[in-house]
Amino acid sequence: MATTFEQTWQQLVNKKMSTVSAAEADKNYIFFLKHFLTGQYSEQTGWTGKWSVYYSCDGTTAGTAGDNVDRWGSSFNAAKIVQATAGSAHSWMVLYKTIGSYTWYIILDCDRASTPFIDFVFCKTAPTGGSTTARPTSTDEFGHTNLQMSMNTAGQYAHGLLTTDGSCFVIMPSVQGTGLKYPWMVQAHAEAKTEDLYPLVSWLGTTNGFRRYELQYNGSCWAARKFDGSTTLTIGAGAPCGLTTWLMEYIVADGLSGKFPDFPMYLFGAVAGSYTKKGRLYDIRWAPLNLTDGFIEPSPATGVSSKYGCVWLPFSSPIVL
Amino acid sequence: MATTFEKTWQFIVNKPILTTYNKWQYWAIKSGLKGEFTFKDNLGVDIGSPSGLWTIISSCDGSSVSASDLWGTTYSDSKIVVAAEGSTHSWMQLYNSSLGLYLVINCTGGYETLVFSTTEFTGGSTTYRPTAVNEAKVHWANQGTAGNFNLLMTTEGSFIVFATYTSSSAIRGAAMCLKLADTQAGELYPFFFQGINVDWGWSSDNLLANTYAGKAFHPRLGIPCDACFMGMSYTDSMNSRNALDYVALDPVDDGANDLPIFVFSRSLPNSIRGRVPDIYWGSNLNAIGTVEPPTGQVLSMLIQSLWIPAYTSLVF
Repeated sequence: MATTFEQTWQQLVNKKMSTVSAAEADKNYIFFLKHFLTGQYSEQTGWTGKWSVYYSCDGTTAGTAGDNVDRWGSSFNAAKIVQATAGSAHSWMVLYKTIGSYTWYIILDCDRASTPFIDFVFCKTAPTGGSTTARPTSTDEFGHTNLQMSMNTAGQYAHGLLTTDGSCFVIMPSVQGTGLKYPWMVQAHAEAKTEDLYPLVSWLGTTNGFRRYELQYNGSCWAARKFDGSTTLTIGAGAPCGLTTWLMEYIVADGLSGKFPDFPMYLFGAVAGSYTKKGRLYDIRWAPLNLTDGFIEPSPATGVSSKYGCVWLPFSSPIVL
Repeated sequence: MATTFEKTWQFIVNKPILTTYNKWQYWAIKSGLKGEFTFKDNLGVDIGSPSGLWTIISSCDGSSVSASDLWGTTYSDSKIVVAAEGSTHSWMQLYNSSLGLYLVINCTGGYETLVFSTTEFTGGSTTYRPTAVNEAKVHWANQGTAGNFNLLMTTEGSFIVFATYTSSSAIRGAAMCLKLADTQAGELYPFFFQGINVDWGWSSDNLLANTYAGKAFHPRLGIPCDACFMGMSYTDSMNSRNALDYVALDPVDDGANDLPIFVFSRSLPNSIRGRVPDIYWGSNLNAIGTVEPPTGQVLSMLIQSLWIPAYTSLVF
């Protein structure tokens, strides 16, 4: 595994969510998304690359665009994470971060009655509007709608990676004895073409975690915007292959060094009319399938990368699985 | 398309293949690697003293065996005897000191034609080529009609050889001997050797297959193993193993895309061995011979699914 990275990663692992109930753990995890990205946990003292709150709603009071008020609070309060379908009072959160030439917004919309579900919406044009019953909107949105993102288990754990420039992050939950599911990663990716005005992608995994199928476009887990912003873009990651086989499913450790290889993850526009070489993920690479989740290289004592599913992630410490 | 290179390439291009076509190509590979043809640099200027040349260890012209070059500096049909192992035929052993590789050009055709080893081949007679303990054999398919011979060689001695022929969308008479980049620590045999199927040329499928594709050596033990280029596919059904084959020019920048190529060795250990420097995946939807940049000094050329270094357009 490549143990040198293009980005500098900061990690927070094994943050235990509420043990009160599965529903509250989900709300706690939703709160974690905001709190982690804005770097408000005590463990994140000294971190850089933090995202900021643009405005928010706690189900009772909706802010106005740009007021920068975090209405979810400085510590978890389940009552502030109100989940209900659009049209009913519910919580939402808008975060933003300037990365290079662009400012990106993420809208976390708690518009689902089922607690482990929210909507993730991305945009480059600042969102406007919003009320206690409807999230803000923008003209160039892309994202994940009505997808499960939490494990609905009391005491589940949350883990996060954030680069020091804030351009890339990975957030994922796990449950002891069950493993990790629903990982979420966002990148202002590498090798973006100059003409690509929307060089940011998001991927939300399913109950299958980092499985190859979901990383390819068949799983429809990716969210992106076409280079000119005119519409959404369907993308997929190119898995390393031979003529008839997925090669990372045949990899074994090097006989003497015991080390395992990796392969870069390139992204492609995957449907007719939008075929393109989108770019490449920083530091998140294909990994051999036949390794135990949590396998750390170069060694547990000097960890740099960990393998989960079929990817290497820049986690240097083990997470609860 | 990448237009900066990690290696320094030396070029022999558009050299007409003479009769007898298959025999002449065997002789041309030897002559090219030995430096008997004029190499040009990436600007098309003659290189007075090419680097990375291969030297003669031994040879056979069908009549006798010698430690010198019996095929000669001038092509002679009678010196290149083509026949199966066990029958009288010609062969040539060369050595590259920079790479530490030996090559036997065995005038039999098929799988025994180009044989590589890290140890010297010994023995050999007028009916059998010399042999080594660990041999990587790649398949050879002649360009059997008039065409043009092309040889690209780095200053270390890695090389690509291929023949173009009239109005064809594929190439023949092709092989690669490449030293890999980005190998794992402790790799002792950082090489990849590529053969060719006569019908597919450098199509994605040919380069990904293990039948006609490539060979490598075990990274520690030096035992030969199957190897291939690694494609990228974003469809679970693997409809396209080269993700670039869906579009000729990227709609974002109207440019031709490229992707790095990694090598996978199939026999134990199954492993990613490294990356091929300066050769990239391209889209086979672009015409063979497409150059980059489109205007000005040529730097790269697309041959079916591969971008290779170039300094001028090729004759097809």
